[in-house]
Amino acid sequence: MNIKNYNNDFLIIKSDKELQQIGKAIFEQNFDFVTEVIVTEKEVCVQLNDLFEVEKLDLFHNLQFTKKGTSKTYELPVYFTNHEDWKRVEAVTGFSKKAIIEKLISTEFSIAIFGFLPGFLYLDGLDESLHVPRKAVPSKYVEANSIAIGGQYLGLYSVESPGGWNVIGKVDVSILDLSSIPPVKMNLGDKIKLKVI
Amino acid sequence: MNQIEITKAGLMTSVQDLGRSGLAYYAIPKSGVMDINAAKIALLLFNKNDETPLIECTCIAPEIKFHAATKIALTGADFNWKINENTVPLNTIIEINKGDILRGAFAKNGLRGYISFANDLEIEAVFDSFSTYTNAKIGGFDGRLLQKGDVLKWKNSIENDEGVTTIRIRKGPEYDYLTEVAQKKLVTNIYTIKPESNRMGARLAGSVLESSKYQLEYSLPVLPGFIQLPPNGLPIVVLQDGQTTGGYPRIAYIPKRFLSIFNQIRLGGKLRFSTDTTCSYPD
Repeated sequence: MNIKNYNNDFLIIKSDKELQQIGKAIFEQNFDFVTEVIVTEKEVCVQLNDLFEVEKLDLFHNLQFTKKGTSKTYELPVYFTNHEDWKRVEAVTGFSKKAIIEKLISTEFSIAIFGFLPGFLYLDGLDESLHVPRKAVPSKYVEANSIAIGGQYLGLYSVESPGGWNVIGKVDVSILDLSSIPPVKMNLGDKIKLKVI
Repeated sequence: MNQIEITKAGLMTSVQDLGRSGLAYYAIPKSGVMDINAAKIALLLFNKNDETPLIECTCIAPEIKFHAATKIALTGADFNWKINENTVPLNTIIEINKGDILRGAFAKNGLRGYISFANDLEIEAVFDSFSTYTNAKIGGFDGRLLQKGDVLKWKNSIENDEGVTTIRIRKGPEYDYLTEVAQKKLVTNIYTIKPESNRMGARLAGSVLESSKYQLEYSLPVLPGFIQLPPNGLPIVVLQDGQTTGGYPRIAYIPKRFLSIFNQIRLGGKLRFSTDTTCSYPD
């Protein structure tokens, strides 16, 4: 575990393995000197408050965490739209929309990160030939339940927002339920397959 | 000259802060303000934190002459404060002109009141505190109550010329992506807050920053206050409703205290970033 302390404002934690387990364990410990824990594939960010002291870093190094459990597979009902972003996706990949769709529905994705927005999924597993960089200037408006390509990820926008990803379609059902915590029932590492409806 | 002069001492007027904690083990008491809530209001009005001196007034108000313009706030008991001949209210920021005289009478609705200042008074800290402890003659202004003739200076404001607000920033995880030229530009550019800014983020207009990369390989965590550099080279500041992860380099961040100040800059308003730790606000 490698921990970098930014002026006692926040920590950036990296680890070659089990970073998500580390992040989950820190979150569940509910340390009084921690206000937020954000877990991504390559870093965990821990926001600190006035109760933090440098000596407390030992608590992180001594943390016990559970190993990864088994993952579930979900089918996500989607439909591909005529969004204007398709032009860029076709141009960058060199493939036709039909070919791209065929590749997508035969891919098994896995949930890499929860982040960005509530109900936003970063899905891993996109074939390299389908990577399309984020837009230089984010669009001011992406509709809720849109699916989009952003770099190496396929993403799902459960709520509408500005966004720099390339929109290619929508999911038929919202995976976000804000009446309880956790608001998304899937776990990191779970598998997703796209089912065209 | 940036200073105040005590022209009447009042009853028990002293320099205090929120206390000199942790030394009771050595029989050194905490000292500090007697009404911590009134003192905190006085400090918060200027977005200030614990480590700032203010003046505590007891029962009978002091009289203070201002030798330069500044702003103050008055909280706690009602001393019927006046600037020159005009009554001024409690619990708000008051503009002071050069030559103004602050005076008051007997305290009503309480015993103690506080005067805070936009510009920090230059008081020497004793064991990390500006509080006065008269028994041992330490802290505050020479370890004693303020008397007629005392002069207290203040440092220059960091909120300076032409309505440009200075915002302190610290280096972010991807600060090194910026070229050397861009690192200098970051703290010399004057930026303007674009009208499309909102609670999710503020987009800044100004001279572009050159970077070795404008996209991260992976999406990484962001917190409110983080400054991102998208491909167009113009910074975006992540704010309270902003996303929790992002794919743009995090070149710097605005510490919480300065974020309050940043979020009060109007749309179209101007700002400059500073990494200068000798800025008047202590951290």
